[in-house]
Amino acid sequence: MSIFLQQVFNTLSSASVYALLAVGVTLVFGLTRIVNFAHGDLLTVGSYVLFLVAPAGAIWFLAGFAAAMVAVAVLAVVLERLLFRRTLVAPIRGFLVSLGLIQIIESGLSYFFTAGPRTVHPFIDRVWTVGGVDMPADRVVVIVGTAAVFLALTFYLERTKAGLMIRAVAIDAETAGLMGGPVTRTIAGVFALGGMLAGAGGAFGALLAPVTPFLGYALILKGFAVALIGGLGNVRGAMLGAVVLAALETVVITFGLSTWVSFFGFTLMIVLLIVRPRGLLRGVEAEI
Amino acid sequence: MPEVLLDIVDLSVNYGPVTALRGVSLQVAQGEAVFLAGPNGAGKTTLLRAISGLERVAGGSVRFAGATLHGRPSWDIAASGIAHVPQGRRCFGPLTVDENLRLGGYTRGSGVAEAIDAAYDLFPALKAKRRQRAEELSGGQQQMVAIARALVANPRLILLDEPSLGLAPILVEDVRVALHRILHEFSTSILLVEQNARLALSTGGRGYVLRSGRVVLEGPSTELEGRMKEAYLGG
Amino acid sequence: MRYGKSLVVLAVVTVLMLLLPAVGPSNRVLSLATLAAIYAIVTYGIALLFGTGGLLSIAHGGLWGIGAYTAALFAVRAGWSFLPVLVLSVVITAGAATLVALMSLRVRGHYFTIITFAVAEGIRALINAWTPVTAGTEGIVVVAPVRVFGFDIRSNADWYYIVVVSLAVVIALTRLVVVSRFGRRFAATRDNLDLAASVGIGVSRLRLLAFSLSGALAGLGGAYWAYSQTFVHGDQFGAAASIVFILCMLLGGARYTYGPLIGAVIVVFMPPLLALPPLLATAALGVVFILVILLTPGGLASLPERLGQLWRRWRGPDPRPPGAGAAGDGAAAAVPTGVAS
Ligand SMILES: Nc1ncnc2c1ncn2[C@@H]1O[C@H](COP(=O)(O)OP(=O)(O)OP(=O)(O)O)[C@@H](O)[C@H]1O
Ligand SMILES: [Mg+2]
Repeated sequence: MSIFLQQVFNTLSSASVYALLAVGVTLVFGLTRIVNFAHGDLLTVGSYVLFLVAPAGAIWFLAGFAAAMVAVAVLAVVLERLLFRRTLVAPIRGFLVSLGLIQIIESGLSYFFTAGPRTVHPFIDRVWTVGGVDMPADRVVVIVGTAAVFLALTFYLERTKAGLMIRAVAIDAETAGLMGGPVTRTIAGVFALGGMLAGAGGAFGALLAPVTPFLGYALILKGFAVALIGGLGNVRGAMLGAVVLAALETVVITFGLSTWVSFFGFTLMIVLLIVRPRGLLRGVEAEI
Repeated sequence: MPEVLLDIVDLSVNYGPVTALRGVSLQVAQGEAVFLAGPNGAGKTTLLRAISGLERVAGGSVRFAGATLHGRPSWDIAASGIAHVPQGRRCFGPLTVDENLRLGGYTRGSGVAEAIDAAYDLFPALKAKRRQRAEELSGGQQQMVAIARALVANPRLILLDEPSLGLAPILVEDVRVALHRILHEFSTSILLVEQNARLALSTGGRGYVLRSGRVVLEGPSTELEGRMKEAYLGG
Repeated sequence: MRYGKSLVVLAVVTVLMLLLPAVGPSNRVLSLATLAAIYAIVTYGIALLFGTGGLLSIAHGGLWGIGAYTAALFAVRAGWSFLPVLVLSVVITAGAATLVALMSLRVRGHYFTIITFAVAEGIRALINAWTPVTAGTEGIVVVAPVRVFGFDIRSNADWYYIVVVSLAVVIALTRLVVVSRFGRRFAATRDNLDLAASVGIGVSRLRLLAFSLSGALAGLGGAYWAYSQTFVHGDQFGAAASIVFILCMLLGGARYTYGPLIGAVIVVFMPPLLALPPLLATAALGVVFILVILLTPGGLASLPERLGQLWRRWRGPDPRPPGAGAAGDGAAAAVPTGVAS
């Protein structure tokens, strides 16, 4: 039993990072139909901001976490202004632009920070054991922090005027404009929101495993698979999808097949895309 | 003559190589109900969309309460006091009726709750469905949602694009009553695109007839009544 | 003869390319030129799908890995000779491409492109994980004696000649395909799938055939890569490689006869000419890629045509009144229309 609970605990902590990534992907796609594959690299940038601001210490982690969210949100808005705004008429071009961004960001990061893996361990000295389950403080922080972020996000999307407008633009941007919704600014705002989530994901991800400049590339496919499982454009679906993928990975690793994890991941993604292109839950239609 | 609220002069709109409007001029005065008729493809929807900033204006001008509208984004135009009930209703299907109405009040600082109550007062049938998703409602009720949503904005001018399209005769009557009350109780000016001649003429104001992107006829509805048929058929 | 002029142009281009070793370039230039020709071969395959059929495939960065590994395994482990290995690589990769098409063409638009992305990365993951056969991340050293029609192929120049001649054949072939009845029907599926289907064009068969053809070119390029680089490992393949090919294609212009060739030459020669450290060269490639997408959607080969248009527009009377409505070219029109309820 406690082994099972331990697995659940581990699953939840990796699901947290996937969810933070995938919800941003799904939000941006919902409003723009742009598949932004550079979103994974935004997460990596968040990790490196944390390394810069908070090399050690639990208090500093908070500062680094906040800095990562702000910095990545700003970066996301800048990218929207300079690049993605110009591709709204042909979203497939936005996707291509994001492929170019991957090259720029990843080689830029390894140029400035070297390609080697980095970690931080602000909470290394604590492991709680509850009911036979080992809970390292790092992972507890990630799970609780992610839950808090998603509570705030859900409140924002479902209970505020700006959140309502975001949902309206996702459904029908033109009519949202007729309601007086500033569509361009809302889209920029959603890039910022996705950037904040990615920044949080980067800071949390750095607590779980070493980070390299090329992590984003590996992560985005998972983030995207998660968004697909939940149905592109569906925020709650993405949260659920993250748990599904993390659980699956835990199972594959438990069976000692860890070298095959990514192969199974891609196979799952392809099968899903073919069988349920709109996701397990309801998503929005994607066509160019 | 009351103050001119909407003043369109020599307006042209193109879709690529296709010219949809050529040199259209049209006025709506404060407190007036103006209807716009014409055969399919005449450019009626295009005209409303151009006013709202959804189509790019190729020539001419659109002025509203003295300010230039053309070239401004749709949300600016909405905020300046024009509400648009688009062709085909365009309710936000996955959102509740209440949320649809709240979006209608997006540009208002305060008084949204009261405005929503007033809209439910106009369409009592909606009140019972306020927590349902708009897509679950019948076509007629969705049309009510679209009109109510526009009213919540407390606009000075409301643009309606074929509100009776696809409605049962009894619901068309509801729309007629609603338009009457909008004009007189909400003191909102109306520009109504309508194929249903009876509904169009019932507003009692002036009318324009468009054909192939041009105004071919205009005048008080009493005068237009007999001449509309020939305008539709050409000549 | 309708294609006479094009044939003459192709012959001239080929002869010019074949003259390169004669002017005594350094070994480095020669191997870069070989690389460019290999990239071009794969890029012509991608361009056939995208330029004609409007299908953007990211699978080819993985598919050419299948070609490369087939060549490496059969040349090194099984000791097959060059030509059979080449044919086998082409056939197996074309088969794999057909499989990919069978899976991915069931969905449209974005989803198609994303599936092909997953295929590319899936192939890379497979190569890296399937250690008993592929040696995993260690890779395979490809050293095998190569004889073609009685000639020993050893020097850089030898490889260059072989690849360039193949490239010329590939250019001629893809052009023939594009102008053929098949090509025109395939192009009809680009603009309107439903319309094409409704006038009786067998959309699926056309697309399957086009995909296997373009897969064959990926296989050919992959085999040449394995032989000429003498070393293959999993991370040479995958979506990152696709990005390079797509860059070649978009830079040069997918719909032009020499677009992919121009693109490949620039992509291969630009980084060494800029003399940047490798990381910055990659970043520069990314910058160029983005600029091309945003600024010249038709590619460099479209520039003469576009400049001509601009010139005529500048000379001739402007069909539209100047300045009118220009300010409205903003947000509202640029925003994708959502789903109408
Ligand atoms: N998005 C578009 N792209 C190209 N042409 C268009 C577009 N929208 C409308 N048109 C053309 O412009 C002309 C005017 O269309 P519009 O929709 O304004 O007519 P309408 O009077 O509203 O007709 P209906 O009564 O059918 O609603 C038509 O010829 C139509 O085909
Ligand atoms: Mg219309």
